[in-house]
Amino acid sequence: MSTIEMKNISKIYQNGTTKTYALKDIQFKADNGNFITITGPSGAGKSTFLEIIGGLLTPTSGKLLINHHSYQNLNKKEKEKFRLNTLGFILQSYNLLPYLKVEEQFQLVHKVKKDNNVGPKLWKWIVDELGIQKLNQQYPDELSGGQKQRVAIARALYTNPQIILADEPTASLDSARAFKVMKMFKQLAQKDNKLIIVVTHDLRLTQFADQHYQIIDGQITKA
Amino acid sequence: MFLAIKEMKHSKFRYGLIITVIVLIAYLIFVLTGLAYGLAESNRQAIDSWNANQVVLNSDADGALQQSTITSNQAKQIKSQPGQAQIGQISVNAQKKNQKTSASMVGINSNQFIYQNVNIIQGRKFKHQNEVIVDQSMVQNNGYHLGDHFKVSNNSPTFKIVGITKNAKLNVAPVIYSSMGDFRKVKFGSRNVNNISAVIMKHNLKQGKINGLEKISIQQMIQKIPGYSAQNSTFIFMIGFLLLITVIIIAIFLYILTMQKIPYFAVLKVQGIATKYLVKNVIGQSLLITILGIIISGILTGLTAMIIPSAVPIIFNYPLIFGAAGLIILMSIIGSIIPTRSIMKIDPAKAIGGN
Repeated sequence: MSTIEMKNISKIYQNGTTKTYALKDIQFKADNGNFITITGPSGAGKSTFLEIIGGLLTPTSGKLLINHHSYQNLNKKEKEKFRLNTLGFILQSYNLLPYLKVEEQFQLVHKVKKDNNVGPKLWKWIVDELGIQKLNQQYPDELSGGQKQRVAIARALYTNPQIILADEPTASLDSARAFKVMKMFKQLAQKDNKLIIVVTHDLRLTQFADQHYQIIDGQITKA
Repeated sequence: MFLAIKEMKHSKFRYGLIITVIVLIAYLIFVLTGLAYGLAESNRQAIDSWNANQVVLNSDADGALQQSTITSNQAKQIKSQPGQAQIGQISVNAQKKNQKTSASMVGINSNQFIYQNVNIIQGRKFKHQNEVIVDQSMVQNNGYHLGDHFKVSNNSPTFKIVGITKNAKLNVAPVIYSSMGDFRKVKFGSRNVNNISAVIMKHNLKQGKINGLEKISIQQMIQKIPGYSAQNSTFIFMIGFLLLITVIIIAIFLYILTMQKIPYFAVLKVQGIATKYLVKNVIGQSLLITILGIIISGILTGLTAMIIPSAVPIIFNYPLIFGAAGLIILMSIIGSIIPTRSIMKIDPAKAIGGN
């Protein structure tokens, strides 16, 4: 059994009599220890794919199993709890709270999830890899776009999630930094047995992935 | 409260402005509460000090002590029972040199309970003709002293102040307690007219209907004091309106601030931070703003109480002030419900861009 299993997942948006398939009959499996990249043109359904796995959208049809449990049957509160304990979301719009210093962004996460967060050794490694060790006392408006993005990545990793879902996580980073983040993801997948799924436009990032998929017109294919 | 405190520390000016508005509103509510209570007390203090249950008045007076006259024949119809005190009341101008002071002269009998219960804080009770006891406000605000002489009209006797009492105001005027004879001399020009204004009953009168007279509760008589009910209603309306303004201000401020934070809250929701946690922070923030505002306005109110002239009828009654503070806090909680609804409606999927 896989960590994530999507069976015949479709997502249809209906506007009057017009039906638009964002995702069509998706079959997808992914296991822990894998770093997966998903590419595709704009509007192909990449974000919808992530939103369904993350429980932010309900598929029109099909079945989603995460850790062998049907995720669709969870209520809103249970989904929040699942996201907090199991998923780590890294978003293109990092939206760090403007009134919290960098270290307080992590303290906030610690306030709502006190147990099973990353240990000090792994945390130090993440902070070093992301190059944010000197930013603790800075407010978001004192950071560059790239620095904010790296802090947002660290914030998502703080809870030590089993599954990491990333939507264009390197959009604000230069190539060198983007590659470093990809290498860090690869190591996290391999050494900490995490499942990492990255949605990106940047085909250069696929070289770091264990598996690479393409979504075109709502259909997923292994590249 | 973590988010609430951090945000307030970071945006000191913004939250300082909100707290200032709450301070001003709470201060106004406290001062109005003090004025409402002080004025109400000034109207009824003397009556309250009699500690009575009922009053018998002329039925044509419509419950107003000032308009009631009971003749000696009518008074004789009232059956005697323990705890009865006849009183006579007339509004006068105490005149000393060129200074006139509005007062309420209350004639009482020395063998009845009102005279016996008058609380003397300086001097003694009257014993002889033309001796009076006056409320301490005449000493504090009008320059009267123990031993002073004054008249209440050109042809009135000259009265001597032999005693000072406290908490004796009636219809916002200080009370001058005199003997019933002196009162009759002032009101009717002769000590031999045996009319009185009312009979105050410590306990309810055990007698049915009396021709030409009516018995009403002390509370009913207080409500009939000229202007008393209208004045209280005005204050209650003003305080109620200010409380409503508090709800609206808190709701508007927090709603605007919450709307600005929706993209950030959406990301936090994506990460699994519970809606409950965010809602608790907004309510906590509202409480924090209000409690800080109330503390500062409480200090301002205390300072006001220290410097306000004693002539101003303002009394800061702690249970009432705490009650008003409690209502302001309740209003702030109600005001924070509107923005919390916006948080509950945030769709975390909106935090993810693209398709």
